[in-house]
Amino acid sequence: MDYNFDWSVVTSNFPRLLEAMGMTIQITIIVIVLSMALAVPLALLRMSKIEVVRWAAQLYIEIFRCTPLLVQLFWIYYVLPPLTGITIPGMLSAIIALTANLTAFMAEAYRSGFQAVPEEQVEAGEMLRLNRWQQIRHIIIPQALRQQLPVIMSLNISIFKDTALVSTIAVADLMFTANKIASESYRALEVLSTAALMYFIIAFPASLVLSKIERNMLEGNKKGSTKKTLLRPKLAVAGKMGASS
Amino acid sequence: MTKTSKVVLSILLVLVVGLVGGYFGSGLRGGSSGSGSSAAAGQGAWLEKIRKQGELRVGIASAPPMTGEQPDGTMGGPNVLPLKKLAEELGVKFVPVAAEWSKMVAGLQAGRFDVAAYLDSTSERSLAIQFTDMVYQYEGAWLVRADSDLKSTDDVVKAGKVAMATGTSYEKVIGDLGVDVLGSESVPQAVTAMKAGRADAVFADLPTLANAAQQDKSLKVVLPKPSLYLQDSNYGVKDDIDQRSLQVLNIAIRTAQNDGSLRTAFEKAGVITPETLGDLEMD
Repeated sequence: MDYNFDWSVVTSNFPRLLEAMGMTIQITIIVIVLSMALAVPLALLRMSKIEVVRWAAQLYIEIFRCTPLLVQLFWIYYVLPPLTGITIPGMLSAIIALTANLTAFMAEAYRSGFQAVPEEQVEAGEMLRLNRWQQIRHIIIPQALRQQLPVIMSLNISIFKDTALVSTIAVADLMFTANKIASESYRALEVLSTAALMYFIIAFPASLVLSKIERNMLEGNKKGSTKKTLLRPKLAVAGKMGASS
Repeated sequence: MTKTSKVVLSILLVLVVGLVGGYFGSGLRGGSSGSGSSAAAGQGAWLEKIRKQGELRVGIASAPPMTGEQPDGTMGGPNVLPLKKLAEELGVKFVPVAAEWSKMVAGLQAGRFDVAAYLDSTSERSLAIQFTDMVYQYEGAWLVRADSDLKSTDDVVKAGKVAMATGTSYEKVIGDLGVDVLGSESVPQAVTAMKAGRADAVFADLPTLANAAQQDKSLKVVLPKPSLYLQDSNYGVKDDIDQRSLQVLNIAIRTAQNDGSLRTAFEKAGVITPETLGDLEMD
């Protein structure tokens, strides 16, 4: 290999790359927080007994699961303004597109978790005269989230990497900045390798945590259901609330 | 189906029928808003909009040294000097907006920016947007590796693979030569692709390629003889811009050309012409 490396372009631009990484992390955190909150009602709508509500929720989920994220980004950035007359700034467009996309996937993860909670536990909640909201809050959601934690974390790691796509709509994240530096210094190898390493440094620890959680869950399953579950303290609380009503 | 679902579906059906009926109904009555808006459009409506929003947003793609990232991290370049002066005269802020060549027209149509800088006027683009008068005229050139022995257009065509930015005005011209075209987002990326061995040459505007050759001594410029491609580079604006505003933009360009400030800015930025190519040209 007769390529002449020049790492000075990386060292001289490192503060810019760090700042751009900050932007990437900021977008990721906002998108994850919003999606994890919005996915709960969407999952519940998806499980609604009213068909129209269920169909509407499913339509939303299928649209965002069955179209590429890049197309969704371009659509919100380039197509929405002439259609609606509203021009949303680039970063907000990116957050909306990523949140809408992740919410669809997260809602399906939540739904499978909700449906995995044994029916008997919900019936037990009914026997304790908990209303539907209390059942969801104290019985279904805690167990469902615990069950789906590996899937949720996996989705979150994916969205962190997918933020690189926002560079295509000129949002100054790590990929955009690295691309610009690489383009104007003609040092793509050094700059893009550094950018890849920076993504890896953030995502790898999260991936290790995810592996640990999965291992713990496997070990927990092997030991059987004698371990404490989240349900017992919650049922105790629910029991007190039922007795006092 | 539950009763609630039937009720909701019926309401939705009534709403959809109402909307569709209203849309076609207004179409049958005929739009009378056209004449009103064209009268308003002839009154400098675009300039008024810029004043109201307090900023002149300019879409800038990377083609250094004409346009590209400046030392302060913002996009800019000598090409946008007339627009900076116009923003000053209007009392608004000059706001550069980073863009890609292939998305310049889409960005204008979506209102992402008010003016697209360093945009070549082509007949296909002119069907979608309008152009100002010429800001700069450039010649297209090849960029090759210094050790490649490619010294003419015929050599490049025989070699077979050419990298260039997609969405550019010369895409068709180069495609018609019968070479394999490797598309990329920007000219610098096309240069990187060639250096990585993915193409034999890059075709782009002379100033950008000369800049690449100045930064990397292993690259040389080949000027096609006779000239393969000569292009006016203008500013792009939305197709509904009024004539008065377009005239103001053209006067801003003409003033910067006539008073020499644009020429000085090009020289300061190191914009290379065929006459000043020197040893950047392949022997």
